[in-house]
Amino acid sequence: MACPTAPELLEPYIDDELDLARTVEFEKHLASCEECAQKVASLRALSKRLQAPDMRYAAPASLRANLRRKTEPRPSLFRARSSWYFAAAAAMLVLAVLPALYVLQNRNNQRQIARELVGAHVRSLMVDHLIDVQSTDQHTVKPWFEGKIDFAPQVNDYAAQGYPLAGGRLDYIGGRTVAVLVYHRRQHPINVFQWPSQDTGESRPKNQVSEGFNLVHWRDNGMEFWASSDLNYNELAAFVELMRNHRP
Amino acid sequence: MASSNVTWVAAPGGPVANGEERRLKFQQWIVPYLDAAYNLALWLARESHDAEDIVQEASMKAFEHLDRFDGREPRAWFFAIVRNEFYSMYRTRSRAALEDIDALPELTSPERTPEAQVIAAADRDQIWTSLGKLPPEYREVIVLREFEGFSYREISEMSTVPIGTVMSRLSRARAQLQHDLVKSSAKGGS
Repeated sequence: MACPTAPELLEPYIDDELDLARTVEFEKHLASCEECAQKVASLRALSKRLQAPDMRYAAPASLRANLRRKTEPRPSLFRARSSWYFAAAAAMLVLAVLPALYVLQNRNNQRQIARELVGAHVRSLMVDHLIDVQSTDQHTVKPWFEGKIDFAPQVNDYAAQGYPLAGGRLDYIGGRTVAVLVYHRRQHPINVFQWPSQDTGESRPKNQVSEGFNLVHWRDNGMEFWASSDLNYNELAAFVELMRNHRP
Repeated sequence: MASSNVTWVAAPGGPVANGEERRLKFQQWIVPYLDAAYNLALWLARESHDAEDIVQEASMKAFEHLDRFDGREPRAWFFAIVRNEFYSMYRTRSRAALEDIDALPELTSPERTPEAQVIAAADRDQIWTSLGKLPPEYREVIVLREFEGFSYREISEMSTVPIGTVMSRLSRARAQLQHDLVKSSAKGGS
């Protein structure tokens, strides 16, 4: 037989929607009504089951990446520093008079490399491939590369600035073995790829977005650098500035 | 804790523009709830692509309207946009009037009291299937109340229906869910 006194109080009770007086009143009733006590127990069990973590689904990375791309400013570094703008404009002029073929080929190369980098970045996020040598100590990471590659990568820890070193690994980009350093910014890994450049001369950081990842390319001291991350552009650019200020 | 996650590093050298402020608000008020919003959209739409589209559309709408939002209860504000987005998609697709409370089949025969242990042991797929049998308005109150812990009043404001309706939907959804879980466990069970 259904308990006549309580049905309209039962769920507000388990949802904490009763005021104190009615809570006390209902609890008194519960003590003496087996039927309501059972209903409360099963409603509580249902709530508890529904609140378990396995019932929740997290937003996919692609959603976050899309939103980042759509809401974030991507001022090119040129806009941030007006003098770069002129430098860039001059550079563009120079480029414009170079044989078109060369430009095209170069651009294709860059694109190809960007694609490979994103591929490498994505692979690195999958099962345990992020790091071959795991250490936050630059004096452990740097020697690890010796004998494995024919150049000495720039390795610094920026933990003090909020970008701790997590380790390093070897990867394969553009037909050669490259050094990769892994840093963390909050939960976001940053991969820094580096290898000796065929071009001399420096190249200021340039950013691009590929498949939702931010990429920044620059050239210093005869080395090519690419940083890739799902981190927002501003924080990645700040990181790149850090690296450039610490060059040997 | 969330606030340390949303720090925005200003672009070097640039003054904080209006757009910058909006992006800051987006990081503070929307980004922390993306997972929960996606979860809501997924339980409503029951399809991951749709859920992703819904949350993306809703987020961009939120982004565009942030200037006019006063910052009180951003989660409820954002969720209201997410559910609107779902219903407009749902209505265009089904073109059917949304089911009302009568559309639910009556619970058959007074079932023996559902046992707490059976419910506690229900697996996720079972719950997913059972909730899928409910009209979206009923799934919605379950998600908002049980997953997200909103009060009756908050749910009523978000979904612009009276508190009484929220309570009857919730009650009905729970009864149906318990009934279904107990039934399916009896069917599949020992």
